[in-house]
Amino acid sequence: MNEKSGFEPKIVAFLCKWTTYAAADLCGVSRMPYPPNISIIRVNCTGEITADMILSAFEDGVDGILIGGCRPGHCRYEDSNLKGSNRVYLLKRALKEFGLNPERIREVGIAGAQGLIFQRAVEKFTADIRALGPSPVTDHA
Amino acid sequence: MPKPKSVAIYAANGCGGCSQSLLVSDRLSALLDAVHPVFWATQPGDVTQAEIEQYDDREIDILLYAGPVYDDESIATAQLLRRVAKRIVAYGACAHLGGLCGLANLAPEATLHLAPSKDGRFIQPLSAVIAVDYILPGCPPPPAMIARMVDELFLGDELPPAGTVFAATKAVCAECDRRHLATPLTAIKRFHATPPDPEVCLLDQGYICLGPVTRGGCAAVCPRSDRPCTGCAGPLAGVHDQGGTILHALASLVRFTGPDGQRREREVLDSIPDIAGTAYKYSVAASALKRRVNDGS
Repeated sequence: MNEKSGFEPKIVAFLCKWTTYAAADLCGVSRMPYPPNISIIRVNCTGEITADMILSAFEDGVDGILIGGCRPGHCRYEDSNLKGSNRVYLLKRALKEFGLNPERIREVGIAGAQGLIFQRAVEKFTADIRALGPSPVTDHA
Repeated sequence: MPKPKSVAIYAANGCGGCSQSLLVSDRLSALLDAVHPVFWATQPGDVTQAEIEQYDDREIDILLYAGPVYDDESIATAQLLRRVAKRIVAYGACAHLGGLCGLANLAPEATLHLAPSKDGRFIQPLSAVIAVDYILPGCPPPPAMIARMVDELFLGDELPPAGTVFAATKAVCAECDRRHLATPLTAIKRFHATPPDPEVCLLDQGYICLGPVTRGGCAAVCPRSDRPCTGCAGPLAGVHDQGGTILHALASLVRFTGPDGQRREREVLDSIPDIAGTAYKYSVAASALKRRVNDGS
């Protein structure tokens, strides 16, 4: 056990209402437990997530951000999830220059019927963020 | 005749550009005729803390502060100035956003010839350490904005409401004459390598222009001179992080169709040079993350 063992990560999950949010819902109604570290924010599409939303979350002290949308090619809004993914890709490049580990943002694509996959994804991400330790961003607004 | 307003200018931390912008303004003589000047500090040491302490509280009606805040001494000076001044204008990009100096916040700490303040911070905008009443953006503030500030703040009968930004509420694009074609971005260009078409939107042509996320009021002087906007007037109202928002826009503009479209899109995104220096040229210290952090890896 390391000194970070007492650390419970705070994670914000932006979930697409058509797929990953539905998977989270399925997880809930199927009584499949997943770590309580995540706070879910439902969005219409991952293409709706702005840089301001992600950066403000980090500014407010979030340790990790999970972005759950459709798998490529399955977006309800043509290629909006791919656009959203490109935005996150570019933002991660900038975050690296700020010294923030880009692993603190993870994108997943989970279909609405895959409650089990959602459960595992949250467990894995929470464990990974726990291993990374608390967010180094301490300069809160 | 009402008593003239007393005005002080504290530009000691700046590069001198802000002082010059005021000197070359066509409103300078009107300004000096209308006010009672107290001091104009252009160099460190021009006005010391001991000298500022001589003034009564709120004795100076309006203080223009140019330059960033960067160490304990400059924070203490800013706090003293806050005490003796009734109204403070953050004059120029450094006071407004941290400015170009804010890029130092991205450098590894060991490489900086700068001691952090007590709470471990480097370059900060003025509003991070004291309350600021008005903002005059720009690096340096363009003549039209200076004229507006002089007219409203010094020559008008009533002071403008606190929080006024002497710039437009619309983006630079609203003042730019270039034709916007909404063509997808397929390659990033740099203006010193390939000269831009003078008629067409710079973003359409592949030059990274911060116009869409930046406050106007400058008459789009840079895009009119074939130079992309670098964002000196700071984020539009409603935009929190100027750099992140232009990156968001760029990623949306890059577009290829076909089976390997996304791979080619990412190649273009990878080719953007100096990403933080471009997107956050003036606003690192005022961005969401504000400075480089140490994230272990």
